[in-house]
Amino acid sequence: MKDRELKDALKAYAGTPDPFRKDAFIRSVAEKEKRKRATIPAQIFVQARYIRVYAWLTAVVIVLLPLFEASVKFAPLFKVAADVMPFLAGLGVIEAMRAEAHNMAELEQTTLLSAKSAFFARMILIGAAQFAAILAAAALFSKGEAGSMLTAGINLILPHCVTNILCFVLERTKFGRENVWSCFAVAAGVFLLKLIVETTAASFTPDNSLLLLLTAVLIVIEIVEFKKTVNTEELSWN
Amino acid sequence: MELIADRLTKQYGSKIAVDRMSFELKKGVIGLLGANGAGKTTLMRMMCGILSPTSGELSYNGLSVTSEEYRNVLGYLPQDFGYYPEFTGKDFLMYFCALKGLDKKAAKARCAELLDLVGLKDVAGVKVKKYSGGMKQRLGIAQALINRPEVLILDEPTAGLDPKERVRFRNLIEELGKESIVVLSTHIVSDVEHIADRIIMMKSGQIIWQGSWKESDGSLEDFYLKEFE
Repeated sequence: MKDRELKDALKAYAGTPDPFRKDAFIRSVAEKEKRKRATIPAQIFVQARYIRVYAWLTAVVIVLLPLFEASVKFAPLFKVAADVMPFLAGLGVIEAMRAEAHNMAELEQTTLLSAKSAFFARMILIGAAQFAAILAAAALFSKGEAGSMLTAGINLILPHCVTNILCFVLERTKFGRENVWSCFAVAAGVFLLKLIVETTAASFTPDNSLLLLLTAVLIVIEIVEFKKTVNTEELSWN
Repeated sequence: MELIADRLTKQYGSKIAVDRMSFELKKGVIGLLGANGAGKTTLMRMMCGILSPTSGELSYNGLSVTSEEYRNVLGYLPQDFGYYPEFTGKDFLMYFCALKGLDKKAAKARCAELLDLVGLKDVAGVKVKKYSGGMKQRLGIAQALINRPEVLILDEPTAGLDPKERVRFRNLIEELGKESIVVLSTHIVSDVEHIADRIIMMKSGQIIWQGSWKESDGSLEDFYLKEFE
């Protein structure tokens, strides 16, 4: 008897198991096995596959800008990079909050890898990609010179940080959760604020150490706000 | 297999959505009946560990409902759920398989099995946005069954189903109740009248009646309406 025939004969003899009894059996066997642990690296690995390409591409574009500037000698590209920072940050938060926008958060919350860790993993991935892109762009714009690299880095990170902080605060409100795209309004607001500051304080050149301190403080605030957003109890009375 | 609630309360500002509810649920189908705003959804969300109670406790076989071990045996279908627009039915299930800790090989096999069970095998590759309401609901059920749950919580699962699908769904729930704790909330009495091993009626966040209706004569609907008068 050939393998195929044997398989068919066995199938015909045993029949298909009842799916519900089968589930109960598998469950009883699985109980004896070591349960799979939900770890943050596991969640990061899962979420990396589901973050949309544009989220990665926008980070890549930031790195490409200085390269483009070097080839065409188009000086204002650094300003362009600094101007798009709020929008880059806003897009990152929108992508990380995607489950909210598509009403998937409640379902995700009851899985082994829970929604809190899903949002955490998405934000860590996107944040890391954007942060790496900013550092690379700062290095490329300043052509590796330490002093101007610091200035370039601060100029790029500051609007990014401010936008992220405001977006996290907004996303913890009912309005923010129901209107995830409002992060774009926040980004536009920060962009306008940046323009106003640049126009009104054009002659003022702040000390780099002061700006570095401000950036450090903002990064700490950003981490705190991120943590608060991860731990928000999202559901309320209907 | 025992899900225990002890003086469970949830308060939103001045509104008490669930008011000192205590019960012990065992294997079988439990029908949670109540009008809109009775606190069913809040109770179910607490049972899933996604809302923390203001006071009181909920545990399953001694495990906290917020524990990873509990989530590992929990299946949940919320009242409203969405999907990422680019997802096909299969993608949707594969995503939740990944979130429920299944590896790729096991996930593929489980997806095929579940899509067959809920009758969506032929449309597995079609985008979810093209599904009818009933098909989406069946996909939601399939998602809840991925991890072979011991506790299955279904919030208004029959909403949007046509009468034929409703009957098919009832049969499915009845089968699931033989091996798991199935809690099913609805405000449509006929959804649970014949399949629930136990009925819990809720009003203003409290249990106003609970018991089995299977051996009772008379219409549960009449009784329900009388209780809510």
